[in-house]
Amino acid sequence: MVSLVSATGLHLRCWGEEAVVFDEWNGRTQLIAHPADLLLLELLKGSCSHEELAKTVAAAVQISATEASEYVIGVVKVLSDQGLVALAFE
Amino acid sequence: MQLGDLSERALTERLSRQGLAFSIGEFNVSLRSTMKPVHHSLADLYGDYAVCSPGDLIDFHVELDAPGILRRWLRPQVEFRFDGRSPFKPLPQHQAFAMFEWGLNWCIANHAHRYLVVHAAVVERGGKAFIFPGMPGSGKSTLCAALVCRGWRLLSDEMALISTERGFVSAVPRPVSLKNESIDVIRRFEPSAVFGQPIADTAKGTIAHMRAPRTSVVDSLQPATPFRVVFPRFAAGAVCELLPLSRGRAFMQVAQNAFNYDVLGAAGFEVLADTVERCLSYSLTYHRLEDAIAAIEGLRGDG
Repeated sequence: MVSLVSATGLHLRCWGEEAVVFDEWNGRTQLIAHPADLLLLELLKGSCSHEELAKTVAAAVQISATEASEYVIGVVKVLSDQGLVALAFE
Repeated sequence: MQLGDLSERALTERLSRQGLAFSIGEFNVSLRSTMKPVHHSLADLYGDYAVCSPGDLIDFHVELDAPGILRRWLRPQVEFRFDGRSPFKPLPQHQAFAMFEWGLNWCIANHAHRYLVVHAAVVERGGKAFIFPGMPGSGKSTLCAALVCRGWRLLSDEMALISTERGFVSAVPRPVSLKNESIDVIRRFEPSAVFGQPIADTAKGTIAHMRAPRTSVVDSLQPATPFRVVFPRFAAGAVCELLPLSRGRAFMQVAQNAFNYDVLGAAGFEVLADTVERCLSYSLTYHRLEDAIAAIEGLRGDG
């Protein structure tokens, strides 16, 4: 499962192909590319599995389930390195 | 009453004794100094600013004087004191007025946290503020001076004060600080522009301050709505080029140029995001001022 490190302190502003995210927890601001913002918006609703996130991405940008799954794995790793999301074993 | 209404003697007495308090936009500043060059520069460049009335609250109490008795005669120096503290090392005495301007920048950037304070020049026309963020040397003050000489209202050549509560830009119009070649560039561009005495051998080279237009000083309590964010870059010999900048990239660049973004936390993020959302942003590379002004004028009706 994937969840936000600090859902209450996350500020997100999306502008087309880009979004900026500010995390009150660590004070960092980051520029992220669409559709990574969709993952964060989904996670703001609650924890999700990789598969659920992949479905969101596949529906939004019309790519195959396999491509969406690979994308989600990569982006979740980046967001995790940035301290925005945490991973738990499913 | 304005500073220019005071006789030379009255100005000198007030500056040398209890201090002279005057308004710069929403800020009231009290300055005390016995140094003649400071008195002359103030008379030359701050004549249109309103003198505070007794009982007005003062935002910044500033003193400029020699750091010790010996330094009045031996390699004379000047020390900037704010609320009795000395945040900077003393400078050679001939730089006293430059130190006042730099020190006042520091006071505002470090204390005016009801604003997001961005290192930027700001001018306005028709209620629409153009914000020019940029590091020293980017050409923002030169471009700002040129626009002001062409009738734009000066809000600041040094810092954009974006209200965290209401999102507008407040004015803090002060003399425009020009460096080195830019001084003669603006003298040639607008021969009627009024300058203070050039100050040589500063850390930034030679500096001269261009007097702010009277109308900008008189209208300094009038805020403006952010309309465009333009990142200027002077490049010798370059063809003028204005390119759109994405909101995300503009946000990150403005944040890097903000003095107190980290201090404000979420409030800083939200007001900056609102500003970037409201404005279109551009990068502007220029060599000739006339070309740059034409490019800026072209953005006024855009959107």
